[in-house]
Amino acid sequence: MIRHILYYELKKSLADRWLWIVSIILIATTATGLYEGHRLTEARLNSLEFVRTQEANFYASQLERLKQKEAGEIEIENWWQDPANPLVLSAFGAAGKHVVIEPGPFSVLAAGQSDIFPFYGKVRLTASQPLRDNAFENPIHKLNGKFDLAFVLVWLLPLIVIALGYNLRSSERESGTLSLLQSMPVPVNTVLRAKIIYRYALISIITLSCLFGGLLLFGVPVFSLSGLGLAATVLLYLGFWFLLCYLINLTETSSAVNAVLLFGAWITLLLIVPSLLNTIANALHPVPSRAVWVTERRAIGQEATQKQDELVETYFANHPQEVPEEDIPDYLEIWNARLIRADYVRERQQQAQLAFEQPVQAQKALVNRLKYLSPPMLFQSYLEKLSGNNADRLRNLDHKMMAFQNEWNDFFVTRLQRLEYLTPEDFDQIPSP
Amino acid sequence: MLEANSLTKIYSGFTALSDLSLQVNEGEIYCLLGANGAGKSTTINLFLNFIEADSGTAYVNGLNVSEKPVESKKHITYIPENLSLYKNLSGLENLAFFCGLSGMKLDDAALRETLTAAGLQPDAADKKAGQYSKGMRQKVGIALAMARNTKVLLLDEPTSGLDPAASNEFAELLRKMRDQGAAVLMATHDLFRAKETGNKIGIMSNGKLVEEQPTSSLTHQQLERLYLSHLAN
Amino acid sequence: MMQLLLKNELRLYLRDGVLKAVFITMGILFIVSVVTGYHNFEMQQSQHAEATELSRLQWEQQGDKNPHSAAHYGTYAFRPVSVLTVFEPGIQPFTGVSLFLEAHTQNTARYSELEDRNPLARFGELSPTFIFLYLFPLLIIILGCRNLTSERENGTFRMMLAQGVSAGRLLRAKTAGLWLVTALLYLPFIVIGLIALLFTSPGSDTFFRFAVFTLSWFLYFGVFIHLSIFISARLRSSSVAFLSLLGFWMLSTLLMPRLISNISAEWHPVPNAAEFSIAIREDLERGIDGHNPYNVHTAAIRDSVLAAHGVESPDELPFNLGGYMLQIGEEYEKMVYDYHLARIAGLHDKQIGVYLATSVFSPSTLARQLSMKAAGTDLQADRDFYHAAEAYRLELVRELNEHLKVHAVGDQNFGFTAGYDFYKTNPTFQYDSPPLHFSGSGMASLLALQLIWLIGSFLPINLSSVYRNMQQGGTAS
Repeated sequence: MIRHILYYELKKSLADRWLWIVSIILIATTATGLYEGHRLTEARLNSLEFVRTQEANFYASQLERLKQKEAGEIEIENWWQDPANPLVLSAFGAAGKHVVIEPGPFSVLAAGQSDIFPFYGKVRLTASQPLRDNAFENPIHKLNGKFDLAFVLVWLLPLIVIALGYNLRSSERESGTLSLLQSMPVPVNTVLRAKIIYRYALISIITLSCLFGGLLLFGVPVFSLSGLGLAATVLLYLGFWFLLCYLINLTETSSAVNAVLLFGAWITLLLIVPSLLNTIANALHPVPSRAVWVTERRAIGQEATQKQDELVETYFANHPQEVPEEDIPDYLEIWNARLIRADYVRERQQQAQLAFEQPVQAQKALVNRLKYLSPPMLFQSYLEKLSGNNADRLRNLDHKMMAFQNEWNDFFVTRLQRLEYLTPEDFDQIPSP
Repeated sequence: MLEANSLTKIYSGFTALSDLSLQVNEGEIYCLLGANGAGKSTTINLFLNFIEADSGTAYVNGLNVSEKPVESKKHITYIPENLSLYKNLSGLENLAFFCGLSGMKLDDAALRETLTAAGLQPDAADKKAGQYSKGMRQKVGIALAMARNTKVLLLDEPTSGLDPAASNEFAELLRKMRDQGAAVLMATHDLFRAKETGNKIGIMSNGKLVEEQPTSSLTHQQLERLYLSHLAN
Repeated sequence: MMQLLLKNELRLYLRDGVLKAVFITMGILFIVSVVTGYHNFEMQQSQHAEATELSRLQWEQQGDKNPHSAAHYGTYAFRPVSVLTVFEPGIQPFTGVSLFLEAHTQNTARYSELEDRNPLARFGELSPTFIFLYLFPLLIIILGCRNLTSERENGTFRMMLAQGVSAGRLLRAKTAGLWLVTALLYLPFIVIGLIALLFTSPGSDTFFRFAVFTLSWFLYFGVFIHLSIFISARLRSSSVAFLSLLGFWMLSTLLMPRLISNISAEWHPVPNAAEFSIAIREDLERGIDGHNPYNVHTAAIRDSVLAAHGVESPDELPFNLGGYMLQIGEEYEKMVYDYHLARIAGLHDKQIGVYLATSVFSPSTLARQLSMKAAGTDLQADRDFYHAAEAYRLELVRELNEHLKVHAVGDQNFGFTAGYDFYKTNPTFQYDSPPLHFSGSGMASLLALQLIWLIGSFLPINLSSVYRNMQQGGTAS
């Protein structure tokens, strides 16, 4: 019976202009979103390629100079130009290595927070910092958001479901076919369910084929667990909206009322609930302004400068100098003090950071619980996570940089304090993130 | 075939139907007459189980419709005042769809034959139903009854709005169905058509069946006078 | 006659239960948004004041050091917080709150509010703007659509026509009625807003800005009033009319802003930070480096200064050559930064131009820009702050270099330092956002475009095809 109804639904819908319009809108918006995701991902890959080339060129040219120096082809006048000096290779000019959060394999799916968080940073002996590649992006673009696949899936897809499903029963009544249908020896609900299943199947097929076709085109590994998860969540999300349509269709209301109710649900779940939750979360766990935090950090720096002699003394009490006092050049003394101070500042600032992040984490945890109130929020957060452009992953840059900083310092500071100059063979040993 | 046993239906204080009993046998056309709101459509809707009776029972082919709604509908073809079809499907496809809903599988040739038998022009069968006139749609309704081979026809003012020729043609078809053994219950305002086509007339007023007569016992004028006298009360 | 019609319209609206329910919901959301927004504003304001004070203390008490080291030590400017952000946060959550001011470099503002908010904050934050941009037009659409289609479906419109009232007059009365109801519904929002505003004892500019803010949204509502009347009068089927209006709402508020972001970013790409810093570095290397005595340009200037004073060595000059060179270098560096930053500002302007050019599809982008301009939370306001801070930076660095140049002379030169007594005399950064002007701020063109939308959407209501359609009555579906 269901098959019989499905067959005639297909016949009816093929002759229906509405379905074709909806399909074209779905295909066009998916393509637009996909292209935007691709453009953003490409731009990031280009940036990374650019800085990596710069980085590689720097070390290649220093290696070249070192070889020339050893072969006696060039004379090095000053210590700060010596390609074998650990400081030259770790703290000066273009020295340093980039710690990177690569775009994930599903990056084209959602722009996520990639326009407000840095995705790479340079680690040097001092003054390591994340680089704000998106600093010059027009803030109005950030305000408006991106027309990416996540937008199409989370915001537009439900509207398409509503457009196809708001009047399944009411249109039968309004066009007069309902009474004939009711006089048939089949419960009208069976017919209704078949109609819903037909539209669910149809939209699922169109959406998934557009989505996966497009992703495949851009080389996204869709035949994976993540791809399966994506398909499953898209189906679940579609299912949720079709279920709403089904429930609305069980009532005896007119098409116009159905449309208003379903659209009202859309507004509520996508606009009102998220913004209200967001406001509540911010009111319960207000994040203090970074302005205060910035001055606190500065106070730590100032304190370290004042305590510098004490810090240096303590340090060398625990780490006896390996080079005889008289062999220590002036610059090393200055740099020793600077590095010891930087270590102290880093440690203290990390603590300040943790304290500052407490309300941030609390707000995040609250919203993580509250998001279950709105399937669109849930879906959006899933898509962002899958794309790898979620805040959690991007925020991790700080930690990755911190970890690499230790590795970097271990390598260079020990050599510096022993005044151990690098050989061409040592260049391969320079740590990379 | 069709039997109503003291059906009563009350809508929030308003009695739409009170203690109605009637019977329509095989090979019989029963015409329900009465003013608007007299309870004709309510009677038909009760047989279809579109609404539930407050008391009394309706039987179709011996089945209690409120206990066996789906079973009983297998024996009924219903033609409302304004029979609507799916506009995007042809008459033939509409017929096939509704036949399918009642669990019948007929091939296109058989369905086409039925449509022709119901009076539809052969070339109209493949046109979109959106282009059909009311008369053509009613014919698809009759064809549905023929194809499903149901023994009961419930008609709710099927000829209102049809021109006299189409109306006459429709009556012809009904008589044919009756002769093949169908039980027809038809609500109508058309006294002339009721006398011509029906075997029996029932006059309703304020939810009550106030008069029941075989048509053979009445002339057109007597029927009209009878009808008006009940209306006056 | 018009009065009678209007009175009838008002009565119809005010008895509408749906209207009451929607209005109360929106009112609650509005109050929540103003209260929480105001709370945030107060918190931010006090924190920025605290940070500004602390930062100044840190500057003054940085200890004895060479003035140029102090210039490297730098100081902070914090973005001002205006009470109008309660109503229209604009781009502020996306721009940095703190700007580091130091010698040789123009930094960009760091640490946007949004970085520290929860990951779903970008679904939108409840603010009066949010309610005006998204929800109010919906209320108007529902009202307009219900009113017209019910008139037609009940046949009351034809009844009125039969009394000898012309269709045009009736439709104009309906338009005026919807304007009136919208104004009545909008009024409480303005009053609540004003009350919130009065808590801060604002200046006249703030009131003026608030007035422009409320007016710009009212003009925006007008577009939806006209379109609701036109579409529901023109289209036979009420559900098709309703869906068309919702479609337009979608297009205007959600689709177009995002789509235009994509397009304008694609058409006018801005360089990324790495490209930018390399372009700057290349240009800087071509010029004077106040630090590096081996730089050819620096050497040339030094030689010419020595020659002009007829001396052999910098020590014999009556001023400190280092301070002099650093200032020349600073001015050159500023030129380089200004050039490259202006290039980016130019690209941003072109991107905004795309928004204006495509505003035929979206009155919402227009209204949003007007509202941000009025509240002083648009890109222009951000730039104003940036330029003021930059001017302050240049002045501070100049003063430091001058101090070095004048005082580090002769035997003072080696190991010269300045201390608290000098640093406390340095200027402080004070920023008051400029008052709202209509000329030269792009405000006039935005207002003109919004008025064109308003009039343009009113004209088709008077088409004879609309009258005919209303006279014919409508179907129930």
